[in-house]
Amino acid sequence: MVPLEPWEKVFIKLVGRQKSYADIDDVHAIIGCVTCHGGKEPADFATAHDSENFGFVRDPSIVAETNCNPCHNGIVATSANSMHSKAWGEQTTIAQRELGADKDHNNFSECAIELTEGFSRECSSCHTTCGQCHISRPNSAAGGFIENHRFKKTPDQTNNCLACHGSRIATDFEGHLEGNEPDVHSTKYMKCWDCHKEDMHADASGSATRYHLSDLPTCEDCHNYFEVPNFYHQIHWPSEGEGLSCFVCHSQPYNNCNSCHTKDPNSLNADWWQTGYAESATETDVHTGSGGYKEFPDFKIGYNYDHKLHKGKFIVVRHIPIVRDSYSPWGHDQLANYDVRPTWEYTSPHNIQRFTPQTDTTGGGYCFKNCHAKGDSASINIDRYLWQSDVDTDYPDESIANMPVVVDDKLPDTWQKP
Amino acid sequence: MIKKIKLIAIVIISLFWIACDPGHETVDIGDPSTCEGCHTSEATLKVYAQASGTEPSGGG
Repeated sequence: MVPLEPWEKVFIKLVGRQKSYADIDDVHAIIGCVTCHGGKEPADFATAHDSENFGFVRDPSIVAETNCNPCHNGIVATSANSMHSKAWGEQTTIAQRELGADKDHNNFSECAIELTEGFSRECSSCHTTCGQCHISRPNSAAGGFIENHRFKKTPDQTNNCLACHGSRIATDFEGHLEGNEPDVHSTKYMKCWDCHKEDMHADASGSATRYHLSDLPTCEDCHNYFEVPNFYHQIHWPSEGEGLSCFVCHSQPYNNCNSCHTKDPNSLNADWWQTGYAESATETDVHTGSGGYKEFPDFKIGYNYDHKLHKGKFIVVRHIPIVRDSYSPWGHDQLANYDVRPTWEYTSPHNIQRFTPQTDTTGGGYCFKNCHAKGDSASINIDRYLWQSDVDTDYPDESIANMPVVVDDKLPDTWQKP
Repeated sequence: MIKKIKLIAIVIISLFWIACDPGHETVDIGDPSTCEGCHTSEATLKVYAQASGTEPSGGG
């Protein structure tokens, strides 16, 4: 996303008969600028933006308890512990890789102080404030008003949702990967919130990750395959937990990530993770992921070792950017229990199509020719799966971590193996 | 019939409101001594952005 010009970020454009901000938002205009933002008015530039002496703050919703209350007190109270505010899932993954597989976000505070402080400094800087969803672009997209400081009840899909969820969701949903089509839901002009009806402001402190949220959307919310008999669905979904995740057949290749994205905020090159992310976001070499934040398209079917959390025996897995020393820039050299959690994790790519490389039956025949590792196309189809040998070759330090998710002993004996 | 009358009334009132609403009066646009005067003026913001050498963060 191209950052706005500096002046553009704070420009309130009056159009037509608008004569002041009150004509854009008469409710919030009553409150006045300095009530929320602090500073001084009237004043010269420096005094008006003086944080030290006049308490100027660019994002008042950092302290939502003060500045968004009492009008929004219900939302403010729960949102403080929402998934977006606290990134509980990230806390869980760190806690598990540091403390052990049986830990979750509730144990995060027991992690080394380098981790908890680093998390507060970097991760929490994006996860997030009221204003970063309802007024401006998020910090990760360098900020800037979306619509003249108008408070938007529904965030802007492009400037809010996809500004953060860009490298994976936006890339997938809008079909930016070479050879991919946009997600069919995108071509039907559906928006994020047409599926994601979960309460974004809800207290999610009881959920270890976003996938633990009780009101996440599912394909079955709209697509009840029992209503429309389909041979392929009947074969591949014999009973709950036994078949394939919908994504196995209906997602296209998606972005995977390598390496870590923490940076030393105390170094001379204290640009945090955003710069590294932006500079290398188009690099696609899976084997040169060290030292930066690299993306590469791939498609891998893995074994679902957590049936309670995800449906299907086989799922689509995505390589995520975590290495044993990911947090060394924060002063934490090694994750003590790095091997307890796979680095190829369950994923739900937002690039759904009815016909994908897996389901395409152009020219006749059945789609198993595109997937089953046997027969003429076995050598090609083998690449669709995540094997232990893949991990051993490309990510030798992650061999143990990914043992639960590789498919080696999960597929039929008659199928070829690498 | 009543519904139609209501609809017509609403349309007429809306047109009247659009035509006559003078908007809220404000300080002079471009007046750098007030928040709104500056932040509603593209020219003023550009001058300050260049002069201060700082990059406005754009709020939350």
